[in-house]
Amino acid sequence: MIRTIIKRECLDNILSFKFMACVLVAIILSIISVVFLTNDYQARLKDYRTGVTINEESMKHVPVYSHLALKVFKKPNPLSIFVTGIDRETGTYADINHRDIPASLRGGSIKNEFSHMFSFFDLSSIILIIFTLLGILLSYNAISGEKEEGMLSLALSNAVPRYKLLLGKYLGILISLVAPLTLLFLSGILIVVLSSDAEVNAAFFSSLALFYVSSLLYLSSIVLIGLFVSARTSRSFVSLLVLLSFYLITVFLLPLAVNGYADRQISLRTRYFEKSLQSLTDERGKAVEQVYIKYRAPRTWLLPSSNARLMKRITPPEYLEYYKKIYPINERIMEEYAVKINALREIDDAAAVMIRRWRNAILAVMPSTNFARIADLTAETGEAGFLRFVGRLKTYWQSYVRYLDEKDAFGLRYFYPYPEEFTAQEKNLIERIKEDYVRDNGRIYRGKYLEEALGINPEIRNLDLSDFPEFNFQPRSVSEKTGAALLNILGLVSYSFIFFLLAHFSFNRYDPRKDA
Amino acid sequence: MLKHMLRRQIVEDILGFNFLINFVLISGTVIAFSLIFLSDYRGQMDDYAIKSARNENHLRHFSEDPRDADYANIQLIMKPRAERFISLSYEDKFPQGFNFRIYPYELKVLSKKQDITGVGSYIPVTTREFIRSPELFSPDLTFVVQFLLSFFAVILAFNAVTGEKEAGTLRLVYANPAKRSYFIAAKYISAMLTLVLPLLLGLITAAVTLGISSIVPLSSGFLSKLVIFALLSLLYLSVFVLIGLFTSTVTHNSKHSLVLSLIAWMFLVVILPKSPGLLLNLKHFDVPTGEQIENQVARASQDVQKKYEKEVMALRKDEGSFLRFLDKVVDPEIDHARQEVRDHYLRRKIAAVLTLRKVNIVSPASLYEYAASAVAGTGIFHFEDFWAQARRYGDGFISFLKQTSGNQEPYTPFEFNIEWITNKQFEYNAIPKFEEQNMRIGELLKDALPYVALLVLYNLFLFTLVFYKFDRYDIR
Repeated sequence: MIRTIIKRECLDNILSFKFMACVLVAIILSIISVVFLTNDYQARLKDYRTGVTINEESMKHVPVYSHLALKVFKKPNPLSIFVTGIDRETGTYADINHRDIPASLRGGSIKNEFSHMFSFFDLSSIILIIFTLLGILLSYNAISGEKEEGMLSLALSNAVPRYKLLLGKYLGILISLVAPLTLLFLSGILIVVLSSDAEVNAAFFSSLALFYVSSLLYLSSIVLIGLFVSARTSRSFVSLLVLLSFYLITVFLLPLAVNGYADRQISLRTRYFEKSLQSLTDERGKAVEQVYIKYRAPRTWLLPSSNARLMKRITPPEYLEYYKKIYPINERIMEEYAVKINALREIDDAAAVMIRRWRNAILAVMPSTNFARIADLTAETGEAGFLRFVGRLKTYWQSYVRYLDEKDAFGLRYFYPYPEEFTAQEKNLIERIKEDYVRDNGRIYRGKYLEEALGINPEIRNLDLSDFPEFNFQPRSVSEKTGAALLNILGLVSYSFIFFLLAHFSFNRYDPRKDA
Repeated sequence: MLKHMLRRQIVEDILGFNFLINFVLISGTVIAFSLIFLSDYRGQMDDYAIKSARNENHLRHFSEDPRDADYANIQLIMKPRAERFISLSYEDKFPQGFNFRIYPYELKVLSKKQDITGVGSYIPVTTREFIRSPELFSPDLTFVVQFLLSFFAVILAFNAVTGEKEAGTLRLVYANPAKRSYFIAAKYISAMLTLVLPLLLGLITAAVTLGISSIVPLSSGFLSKLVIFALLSLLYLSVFVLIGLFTSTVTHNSKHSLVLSLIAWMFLVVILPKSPGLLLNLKHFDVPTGEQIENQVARASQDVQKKYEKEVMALRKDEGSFLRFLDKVVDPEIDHARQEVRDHYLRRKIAAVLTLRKVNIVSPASLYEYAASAVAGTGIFHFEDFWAQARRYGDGFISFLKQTSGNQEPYTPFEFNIEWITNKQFEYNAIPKFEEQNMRIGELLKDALPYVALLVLYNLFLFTLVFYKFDRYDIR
């Protein structure tokens, strides 16, 4: 019996104009957006790969520690094709440097800053906007509409228990929503897999499966809410109006207002770092200055060191001794202040965490916002994923600095190994400059030896960085993602459950007779 | 006759359930949005104060020691404005101003991800990232009208004809000697009047909440913009009332007309205005990333250096003429080339967006959005105007330096000569200061005019369509 009800409901729905219109729009939009975002993802992946290769290549040619310009890249997330989040905007790499703990990413922001006015759709927003509307349009008159047409009394005159009729309606509507949804997912996956370059693996598919399941749960709760409202009202127009207001509020207004308010409160209330940074950098400047005052530079000749890296080899031994003394002190001061500056940031971060917690609590009230949060957590393209990446960067910074400490990198920071590897030519040049300096009483024309110094091209050994700490960032496994999103998933399940019960009770008391 | 019909209709509309929901939703949304706007505004004020203090500090140093290149730069930034509440038009995501370096002349867009570097500290410190959740719309008054009120306009009008027909009252109405056009006109006018109430409610709530907060100064300019905005909103809402009436005249069943008008609304308000972003993928609109642009800037200056390589090498022996040649010929050309690359891409970015906006004129919601942003003086036109102001200021600054050095030769900013800056100090008060000037209302209206004209055309087209269709409507 229930099969017949489901079958009839499905056919009814699928052949309706609203169904065809919504599904058509959804399919066209999703295909365009998946193609666009796949292209975008591939471009970012290409940038990522070239970045990594360039970085690896440069790490092979590091003669001194001051030339160590390490970059850590964030791999674009293939799930951003379906749930864009903020993956495209938050930057692509971070500079790792003992003078500053990375707190945000550089580069890779949206190419055209003005294009924000055309924010566009990804699969998650298509589900939220179009499928929610479709779910409402299919369920708002499931009961009140049948009554208005007089079909309800007919259906009930058969020996069908009311709960079976309700279940049949629910499943029928859900199936007619899930069918196009599955089509969207499959076509999206097909596009991604067929485009040669996308990195899809088991983790990608299982995360996608989690996303698919959560969208089913979401749609189920929407359908049940629709059925409930339909069973509470006697006129389908009123039920539609209530449901549409619900749609406007939960899909558009609530997220816009709550997210907007929380974001702006965070950027307003977490400015402690920016306000107190200047005094700390001043302090740092003074500390470094003190070192220069304490250890006076030797009075002897010096070629302009900024001109070429080889200049650093043509350096008087007194200067080398001097640098060896002050650089470890200076750079340690920098390192200490990097930690202090980061402590300032962490005060702000703690305040931001509090605001986010409030926001998440408020947003957990509605099914649509729960669904958005699950999408964010499973794809890791939103705030959560970004914060996790930055957290990983910070721990990596610690191991990076530890490595430099172990190698005594600061003492030798700027200079090529000295003195055993000086060539005869270099020795000769240094001697001549020294003689000139003494003869001219400290006044030599610095350009005089520049070309000669540049002409010297000794073989310089690169640093052995084979034991350099490696950065790796593993995306969460599916079970971890499920764990993180568990509360929200449970929220959706309980929504379905509660509204099924509510719809059931209301329907049991429903008067199926046509209004006189 | 019209009067009677109108009275009957208005009473019906206002007593309706949807009018209540409408009222509650609008006032709730406007209050929530004004809270958001107020925190936004306070953040902007903070930012503005910090940056203005930094600029003042730099200019004071500059006036005392003009040759200290560390201080020869300031940030030209947008003033926080109450108009952003009328229409934010994604302006908060645009660059918020320019970095102006006095010598060598450079006017560069401020990037969001600028490192914080305190004066005198040469080590960049990375900023914290202020994550913005992806938003499809921005929380401003334009959204309230564009999205919420248009929705209610459709809901008010969709069963104007079909509903009466189903209820059987349509034939009754025609039993009276009434013209058909009167009937539809009464429906239209009553729907518009019913929409004016929540619109006024929204605007008054907005003005009152901003007024109470006393953070935002409410100038007469702002209030007059609010009035123009209200008129514009009526023009826009009329389109959706007409769309509702139209769907009602082409269907014979209020269910169908509702679904049809909802889908039309969805398409015109949500889907069409947002979709052209996907066209940005086309080759034609593509621009390089910020880093690639900076690489091109570096390459442009290398090209100039290469061009003068031989002459420079020849002059190398004589330090005096060598430096003079660099100062007078090579360096200005390098600065010019660098600035040219940056300006070129900025122009291209703006042009791409403006072209995409032209694609969007099929949707009345987009037309309204653009017209509202033009009236409020925010958005892309505002940025263009701000850019022009920044350039004017830069030119003015260089000519000021030149006048004070007593030099009368013609110049461009790029032929800047360090000799114009003497070692003697400037009067701080005499140095030109930058403050953003608001665009005049006349100019704003001129920008809005094409969009308004298109909206009017939309209205006229739908009017004729509705009257024509209804004249042939089968009332049985």
